Amino acid sequence: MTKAKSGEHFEELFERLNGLVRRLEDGGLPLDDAIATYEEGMTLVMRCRDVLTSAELRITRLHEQFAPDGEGGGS
Amino acid sequence: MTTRAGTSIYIHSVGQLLTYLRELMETDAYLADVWVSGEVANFSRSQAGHVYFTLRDRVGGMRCVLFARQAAMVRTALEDGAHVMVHGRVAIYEARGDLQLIADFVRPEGVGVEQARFEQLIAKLEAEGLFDTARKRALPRFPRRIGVVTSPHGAVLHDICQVIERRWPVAELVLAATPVQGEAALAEIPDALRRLGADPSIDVVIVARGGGAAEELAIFNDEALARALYACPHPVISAIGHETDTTIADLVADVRAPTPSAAAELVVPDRRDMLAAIERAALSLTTGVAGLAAHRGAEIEMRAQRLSQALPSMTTLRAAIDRLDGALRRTLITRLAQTTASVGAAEARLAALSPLATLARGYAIVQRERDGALVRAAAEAPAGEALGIRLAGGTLRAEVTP
Repeated sequence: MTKAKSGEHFEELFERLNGLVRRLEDGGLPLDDAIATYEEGMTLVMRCRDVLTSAELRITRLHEQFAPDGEGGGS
Repeated sequence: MTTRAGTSIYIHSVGQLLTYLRELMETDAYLADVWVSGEVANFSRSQAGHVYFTLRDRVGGMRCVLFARQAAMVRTALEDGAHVMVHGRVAIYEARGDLQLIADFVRPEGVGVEQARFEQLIAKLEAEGLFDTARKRALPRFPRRIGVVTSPHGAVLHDICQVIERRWPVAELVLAATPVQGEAALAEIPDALRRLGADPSIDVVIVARGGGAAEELAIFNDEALARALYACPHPVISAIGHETDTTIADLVADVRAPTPSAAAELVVPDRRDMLAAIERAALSLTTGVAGLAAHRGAEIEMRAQRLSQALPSMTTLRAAIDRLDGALRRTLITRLAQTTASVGAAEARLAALSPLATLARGYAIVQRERDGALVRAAAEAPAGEALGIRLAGGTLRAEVTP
């Protein structure tokens, strides 16, 4: 699936999610901020789940990708 | 310089001859990289740690010097009578015109040339830092593109793909297909490593080979291959697939795995673990926000309570108003009564003092007609004066008689 490749990388999504959880757990947030954090966090939860459950392994051959020396198949 | 075959006679200086000999030896590939076996004699070690000995056999002997730096890495006991194999280069000690062997590696004789060469290579690469643990790079936690150097045929690639497909299909595998045995492998594996290294989007590289004869491991002890592994900018996992022997490739790699499947498991996380972590994060978010809302609600509740405790309630206020109202009423009533009483008393006094009461008792009020003044004395009403006389019941007009 191209979902995972469209600039949305699991690592970034997951780190952002953890950051939001920490913000909420650190406490001291006004209620409005807390709710906004919760909503943004749950959106990330869904996107992370999507990336993982919809992924399909892609295998490419090295020489298919690029030919800096002008050799091999073009990409 | 003259050639050997030259017919002209040229008289050299000693220095020129020595220089010629030195250059001859330095440029001779054979003499610059030679293995010699023999018996150690005349062994000595200088203060600085340099080791000197004669290496000899039945025919003759040669002076050897092993400088301190190399001597420190030699694990073979060097002493008179020891039978050793020495690796080094032949040189001429110009000051005395003596031949000497400048040694850099020593092993006991009988170890086997291949083994000796292998150990010498290991010592050399180790000294250069290719095996340093400090330089081992950590594997990325969520690799996106994984380079795989292995044969496109056989079980190795299949095993790796299967493991990654199961655990982390999010990643993309980039296969650099190479032979993994024979001469061709010696050229193609370093080349594959260079090409993967040139691609900055690759996060980690697996070099894998399936089990097989021990002889086939030899290419993974090759110096050029080791250097290509070291030069790779991405972390490398070696999965050479053997039980007991460690190859140089294993020592250079950042991580060593016992099998290709094990390598695949080290390289990617399991998505089931990450899905569980995501669920835990969702739970934390939910309990976090619910807890905060409850906390805030409790705060508000507490403040409302305190506020209501500080203010009197409506009932209290009403009661107070009622009490005030009652008190006011009673005060008014009392006042009214008091005032009425005073008025009554005043009325009585007034009535008592009223001239009308006096009149009722039979007295009369006498007034002069001409100016209305009250007459109290006879002198005030001389004869002929007209008077008005007020009685309780009516008035009389009179005239004073003389």
